[in-house]
Amino acid sequence: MNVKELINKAKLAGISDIEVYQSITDSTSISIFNGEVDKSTINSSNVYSIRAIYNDKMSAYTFENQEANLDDIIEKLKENAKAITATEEVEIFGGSEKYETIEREDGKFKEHTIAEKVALAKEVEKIAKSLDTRIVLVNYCVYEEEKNTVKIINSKGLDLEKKAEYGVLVLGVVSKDETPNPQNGFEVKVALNYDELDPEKIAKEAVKQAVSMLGAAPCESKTYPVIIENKAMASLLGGFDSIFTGEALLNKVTPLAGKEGTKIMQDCVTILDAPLDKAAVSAQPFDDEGVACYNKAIVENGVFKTFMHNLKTAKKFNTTSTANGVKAGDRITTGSYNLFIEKGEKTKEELIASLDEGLLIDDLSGLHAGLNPISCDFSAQSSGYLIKNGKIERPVTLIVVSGNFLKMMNDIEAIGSDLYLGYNGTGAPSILFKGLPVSGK
Amino acid sequence: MKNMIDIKICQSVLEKCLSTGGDFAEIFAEETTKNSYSMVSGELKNASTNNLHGASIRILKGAKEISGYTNDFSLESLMKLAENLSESVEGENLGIKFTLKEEKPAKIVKAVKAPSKVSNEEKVALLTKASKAAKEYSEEVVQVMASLMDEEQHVLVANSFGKYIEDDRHHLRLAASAVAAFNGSMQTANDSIGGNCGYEIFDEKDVAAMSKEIAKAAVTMAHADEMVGGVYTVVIDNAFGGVLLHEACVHSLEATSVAKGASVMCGKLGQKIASDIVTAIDDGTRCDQWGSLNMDDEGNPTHKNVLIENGILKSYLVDYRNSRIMNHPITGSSRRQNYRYSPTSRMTNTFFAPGKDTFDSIIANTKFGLYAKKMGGGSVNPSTGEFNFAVNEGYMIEDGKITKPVRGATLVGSGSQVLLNIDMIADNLDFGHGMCGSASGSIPTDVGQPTIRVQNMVVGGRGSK
Repeated sequence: MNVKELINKAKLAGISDIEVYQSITDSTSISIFNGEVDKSTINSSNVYSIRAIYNDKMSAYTFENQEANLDDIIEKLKENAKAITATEEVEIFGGSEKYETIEREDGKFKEHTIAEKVALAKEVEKIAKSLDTRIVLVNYCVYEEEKNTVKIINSKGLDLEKKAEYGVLVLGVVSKDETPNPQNGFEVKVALNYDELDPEKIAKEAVKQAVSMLGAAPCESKTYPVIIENKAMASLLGGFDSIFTGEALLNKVTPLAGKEGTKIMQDCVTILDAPLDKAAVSAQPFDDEGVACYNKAIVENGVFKTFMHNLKTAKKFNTTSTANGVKAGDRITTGSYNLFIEKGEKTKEELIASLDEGLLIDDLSGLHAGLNPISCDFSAQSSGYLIKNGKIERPVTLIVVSGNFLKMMNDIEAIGSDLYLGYNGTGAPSILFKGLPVSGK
Repeated sequence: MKNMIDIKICQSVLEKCLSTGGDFAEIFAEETTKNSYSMVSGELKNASTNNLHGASIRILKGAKEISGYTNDFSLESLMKLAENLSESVEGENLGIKFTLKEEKPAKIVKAVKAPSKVSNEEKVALLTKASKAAKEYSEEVVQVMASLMDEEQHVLVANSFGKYIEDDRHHLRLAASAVAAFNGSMQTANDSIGGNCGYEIFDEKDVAAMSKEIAKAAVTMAHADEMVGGVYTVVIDNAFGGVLLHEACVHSLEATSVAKGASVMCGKLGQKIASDIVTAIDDGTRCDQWGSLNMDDEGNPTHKNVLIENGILKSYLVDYRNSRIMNHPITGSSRRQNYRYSPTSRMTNTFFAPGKDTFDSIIANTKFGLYAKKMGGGSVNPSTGEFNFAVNEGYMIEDGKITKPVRGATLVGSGSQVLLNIDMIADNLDFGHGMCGSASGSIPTDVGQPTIRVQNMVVGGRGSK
């Protein structure tokens, strides 16, 4: 597809501004089952997402056919723009003054052959099986790597490019002993460098989880002090991050409207959006509208500092984009690239030791269904461990932990020091909450 | 569109795939146009079009699978992909001979008013109707969001059995959600109308009536008390209530986990897994329904599969590759979100068959319990069978009567237990439309059931006694 030709044709057809967002991806995956390659894939894709402004309305068209008819695309963009009735100011971005680069060493994925990668994945499976006789099945063992190039070119002269490359090892194991129910362990490692994919570490983590959950049963229904472990806490933050977004503000579906500059959480809570942090897999130099990213506090010592805006929501609220434009399907919404709760001082072990009776929750399942980002209420099927006298007493499962995200962030006993940066853009340390209602037996 | 990739090109590519010892090869190609529209507060905010154009090639050798995709349909590009993939197969050409022959699928689903024949104005009018009806229901409705998605998917499946078959699918769905606020509490309710059909569906189904219902539910829930957690008798209403069967049981019957020995349902064919009154069916042949298909993504006709009959496990859901591992017949259940996903066994329209009770008799016979009128989504872990789902609209049942509304209830349990604990099933089978996410992506599936009653369920909630 000739981008320049598309831009010129669109201009002639009365489109005032147009942007071409091109994403080129090559990926490979290898799945191991019982010591053999079970599935493997070699994929490549090249996708163009076009956004255009016609009569002050923005519409979008995405396509993959390199020989697509440009005139048809332009017609469809105009037709879609005509359907829009909302009178929001829209913009195709002319560019930021300065762009940071995210300096990264070569990930060394090319230096290793497919055979070595197959061997690495086989190694993970083998270690997992050898670590504990109660591991009865390795049901998921996958190596994956992906290389992605994104280009943003528009009629305002913007011409940006960013590249990303990463590798992933995923391991799922099932454990069983004389207790009635099998249990699961699951570990995902996303790495920017091939050498960071440590088969032993990944296997140990998944196996530990599966084995320590054996014999799990519900606990009594009541309100417990609850430690939500870092990974589970990161997924909880991920479930509620929409409340900080300009899009939610625009759609009146956030409880934080009008609360900028006010205290919404306890003093000890700081939530940062740090897209330039090169340690984060999801780090980005610019957002999906081409606005230069920068690090900022969303909540600082409990005070709500700013919504995360894209160009459109910023205009609506008379501010500037915070470089939080995120592509969601065909359109640009608002979201974060690396949002995390800052760590505290206590280790997870100290948090556990501080409880006479409580729960350590390391898995919140079904958050996508049991979570209401408008009211901030959630009820999630959970599993973890019952703590008695400062020690883990037994595993618990089939319980429901309920809460309200904003209320609980005002009911913190202590924040842990074990910050986990998730690969999908949210991170958190373990946090001990004073009391959350738990339904069990 | 016909002959998306020429039959001769397919023949050459498939032959190339088998040149290194593969025993089965397949091309799946699609050309899909999807339009999305979203409305917030009665204003159309987004209108976009997404065009997918891709071909996936798959080679099997025994149970081993090698696959890949490209956006380029040229002979050169497809041959290159076939060559790259076949290099991963170790062995000698098995000399498999086949000649592609064009077939046509049965016509179960069709679109009278295909999306491409309906103007943007007509589509926006439907969204306006949905938004207006919800907004006008009550002043407490503070926000209404409505979205419309329509998709025309043209697919081609060609394989080394000589199959060369093309089909058209027309998925469309209008979804609306209403937010109600009362006393600082904001609650949402949502529902949708959809099918594998054309816009004629809106001649039969009333968008405004659906919107009014969700507005009513959101307002009711904004006034509701928080659910008090504990163990309850739960009456789950018809239609979307079928998500219980979907999550608690049928995901564990998919070959994806059964073939690896990773499902709690492994080795249970012929055994009692549910109470005697339970019969469960997955039926991809229901006329124009959201989860229905003329053919599955391996080009095989969809079936009506009886999974559980009078409590006894009768069948798993099995695709071609897993049928080789499991020694179980294929069930016309192979599905993929699009060419980017490798196909595997998935659900279509899954439901409990009607029983002998009625809605009224179930409520009247329940001394104390939770009436889950509208279910939200949920999830399951197939290797433990543990599931969860949200109750979007709930009421208490006291002395055989539906009393006060309750919000924030979540149901959890293990699939093996819950099916045994179903003790009443009504006669009012209906369906709800969902998107099911699993190994081969997100696909349209219907869940369905008549009203059922389940004993001893763990219910989570934030309320206190």
